[in-house]
Amino acid sequence: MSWLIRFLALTLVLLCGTWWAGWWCVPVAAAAFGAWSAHQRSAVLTATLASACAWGALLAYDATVGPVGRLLAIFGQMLRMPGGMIAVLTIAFAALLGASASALARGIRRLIAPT
Amino acid sequence: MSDTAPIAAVVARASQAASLLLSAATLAAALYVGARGAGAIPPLGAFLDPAHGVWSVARAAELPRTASVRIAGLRDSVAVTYDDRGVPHIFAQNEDDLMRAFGFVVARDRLFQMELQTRATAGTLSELVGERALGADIAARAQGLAWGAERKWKALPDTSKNRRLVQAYADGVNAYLAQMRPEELPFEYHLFHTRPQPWKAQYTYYLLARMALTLAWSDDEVRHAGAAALVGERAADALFPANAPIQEPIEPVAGRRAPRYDTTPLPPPAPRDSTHAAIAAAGSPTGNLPAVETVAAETSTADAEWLGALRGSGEVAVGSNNWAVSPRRTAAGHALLSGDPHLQLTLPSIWYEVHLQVPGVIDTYGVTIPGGPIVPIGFNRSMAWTATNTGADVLDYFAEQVDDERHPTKYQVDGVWLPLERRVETFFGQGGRALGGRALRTTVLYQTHRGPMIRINGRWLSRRWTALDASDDGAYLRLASEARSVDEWMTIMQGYAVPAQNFLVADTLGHIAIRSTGHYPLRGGDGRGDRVADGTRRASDWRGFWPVARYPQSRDPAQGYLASNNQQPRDPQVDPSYFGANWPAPWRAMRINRLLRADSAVTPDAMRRYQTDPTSEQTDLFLRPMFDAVAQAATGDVDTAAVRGAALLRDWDGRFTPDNERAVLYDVMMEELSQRTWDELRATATVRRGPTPSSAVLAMLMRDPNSLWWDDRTTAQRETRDSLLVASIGAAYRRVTRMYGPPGTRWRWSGIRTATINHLLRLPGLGRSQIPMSSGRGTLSPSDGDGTHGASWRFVVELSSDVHAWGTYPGGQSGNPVSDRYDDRLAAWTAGTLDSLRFPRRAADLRSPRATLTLRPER
Repeated sequence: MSWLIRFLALTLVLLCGTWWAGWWCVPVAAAAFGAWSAHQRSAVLTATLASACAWGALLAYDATVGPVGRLLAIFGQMLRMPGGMIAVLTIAFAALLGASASALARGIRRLIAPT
Repeated sequence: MSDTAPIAAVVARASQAASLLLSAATLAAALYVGARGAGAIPPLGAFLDPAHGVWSVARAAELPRTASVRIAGLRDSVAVTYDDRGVPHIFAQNEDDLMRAFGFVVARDRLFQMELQTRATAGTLSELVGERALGADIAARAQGLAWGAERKWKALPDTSKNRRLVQAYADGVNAYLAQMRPEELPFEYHLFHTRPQPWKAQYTYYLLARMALTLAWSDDEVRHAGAAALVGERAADALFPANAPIQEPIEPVAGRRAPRYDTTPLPPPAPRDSTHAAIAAAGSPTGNLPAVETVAAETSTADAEWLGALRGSGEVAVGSNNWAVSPRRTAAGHALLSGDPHLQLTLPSIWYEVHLQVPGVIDTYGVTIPGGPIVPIGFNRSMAWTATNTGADVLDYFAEQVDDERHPTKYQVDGVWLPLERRVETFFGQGGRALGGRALRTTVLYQTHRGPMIRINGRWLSRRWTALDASDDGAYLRLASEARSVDEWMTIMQGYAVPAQNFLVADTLGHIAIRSTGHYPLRGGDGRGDRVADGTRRASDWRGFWPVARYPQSRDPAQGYLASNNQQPRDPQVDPSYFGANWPAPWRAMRINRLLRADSAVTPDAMRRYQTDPTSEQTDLFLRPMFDAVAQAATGDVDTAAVRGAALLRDWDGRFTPDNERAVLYDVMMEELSQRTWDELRATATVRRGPTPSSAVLAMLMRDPNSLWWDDRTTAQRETRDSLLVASIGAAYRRVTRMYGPPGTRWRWSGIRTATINHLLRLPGLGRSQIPMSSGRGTLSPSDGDGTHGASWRFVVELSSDVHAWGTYPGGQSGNPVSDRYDDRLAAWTAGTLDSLRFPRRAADLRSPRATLTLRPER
């Protein structure tokens, strides 16, 4: 399976999982992916990017159906920083969850069943 | 090579283990912050989740174009049509369904506000926002509002129609909660990482109690004691009088066409009197601080300034107005009514516009307070009604004698020891008891037969307050909104108790009427309620309430109009009975009376213009003597700043308009004059604020240029009125030039006196500020220094056969801060314009609705 297909499939799983089940889906799905593709060198990178893209896509959807810009402006005033930072933080948080969960699962899998 | 291979393997293993540990630690930290948060940071997982977290709020910014929901308990379908202004028009087939839909619809737009108000009254804000609200919670429970509200609810018979309808409203709110989609969870719940609590029917009574706190609380006893401690009893009586020195009463006096001035000179200040010091030192005994605002103050960096503005300025620049004109004085020959209640301005707004209809029963449009299934200000097909606050003294303190100073169990009345009622109150942190919030504190509250007790400087006082008595005021308001005439309305409202309001009504038959309606205590002795009463005597107790016939009132007066502006309702020459003390200055009353006396063909547009009229009746009374004093002084050695200041104010048109460049000088001059005149009322020379008499008292003092009150105690020479006026304008000129430079555009009123509309919790980014206003000292739309109070709802109704109405308020229908409907009325409110209000007879009559909602019975 090519990297792109694996990436898109994982992104879709994370997107739908977040939509239906909530944020917990990200570490769970990323961990499953990390364990499943433990022998792929790009597993952690794939999970990181897919997590960021899944939440980025959901944010983009929010922005198409609602005034996310106003929300950013409110956050900007509340946190006294550029409002966009909270969007960056959101995507970074998903990436962090995806990266750490997949790396941990991949590492355990490789420890248990080394090549 | 064979030697290095095991080493490489060990290194690789170690590296793998380290990498694993790092991943585990990172994941654990991310999961912890995601699930639990850290410090002030909410749990980031749920918060940032773009599907269900705070971002989803954007998806629910606007109402869906069409929606259909099945809810339990409905007998028939209810059609809700939102007009282009976002106002829901609810068309139901019976009252129970109407109330269910009403609760559903209001919760849909204002859910967080409803819970916040409830918690502020109940003293459980800490369970929502954490320990920082503990002070406000303790104050709220000491006020006993929730306790009183629960009593009122329990006192309602099970068969009561109002109980059933209030329960239906609560069921509607809970039906909304049950089907609420994740994105509909209000923004604030995401911030505090909590969920809405189920709505109980009695919360409606909490809301009414909260309105009583805002409108019917008075601490005349404390203010009087404070002044008496500084200048003696007699002077305190004159400075904070039971009767206003300028009389332009609500109840017209036959044949009078101008205000009446009481020219009795003020008695001079007497030496300090320590017998009043104990109570005076306490300030406001429970802090007359609406609890939500207290939380806000505790979270703001400007606590001291805010508290100072609230407590110390003496003259509160909040003022509601209403007036109605008989058909013979209107251009079109129909009665006109204007409502302009002033309150603290918040976002979301205190009001929510709604139209309720059940064919043949109710067809009412107006504003409701979220949580209350009533329309306290509005109109129907036959009449319109509105209110200003009466401000009567309905709260008294009694000094009690107890058996144990620290842990009392009994109190003495007429030599007999009576048991104290004792309540233990426990305060929980975020989440409350149900969700594992920790207990923050426990307090014990005591109560006599009069009401809750408080302890001030070792003295125990009990409080009797009409707001804690059993009454069902919501029922009267609900019934009155269905009335068909002025007379029917007045009859229904006879039993209404609290908060006392100057209810003004007009109908399509051409009648207008006003009545200061509420329970007013009958007291023993001299009948005064502005002194702490002796609690050891049963004779000090209230003996009942005034009969309705004695309330200040008027119907279709000869003058052809009626107006109220919170002033003393009845001229004491007509009835000298004690009704309250330290009435707001009558400038607004004088202004609207002048405008209405001069206009014999009033139009709805004139009514609208009067609401933001920028002229004050007080300016002439102070400026003319000031001009004369400066001219007189100019013959000698005079402060050049005073001469310049006076010259600038001579050019002033006396209007507090946004583009005015002189109003600021007058404003500061008045502040200087007040500070210098009432120096005797400051405990020490360094205290900037003390109890401050009304500007009407100051205006009357102007007639006595050599009064001892003009003397500045800190100087060796004896000052007079004129020397103080010269000093005040000189100091004002210096202050204004220091703050804003030489006279010019920086003196514009629009950059100085602006409205500030804070979020209910003063959350940054959710309020609006720097809103220019046509308002100043004594104008019909007054403002105070911080601009946080003002016109909360303005409307005009023309009582023609087909009722027409216009209105607006400073905010919008939605509580969602990213919605267009959060503050879409602010522009009209700022400009002083009003929107035409849609009042369709059928849902189909409403052209281009913004959204529709159909509520159907469960199958």
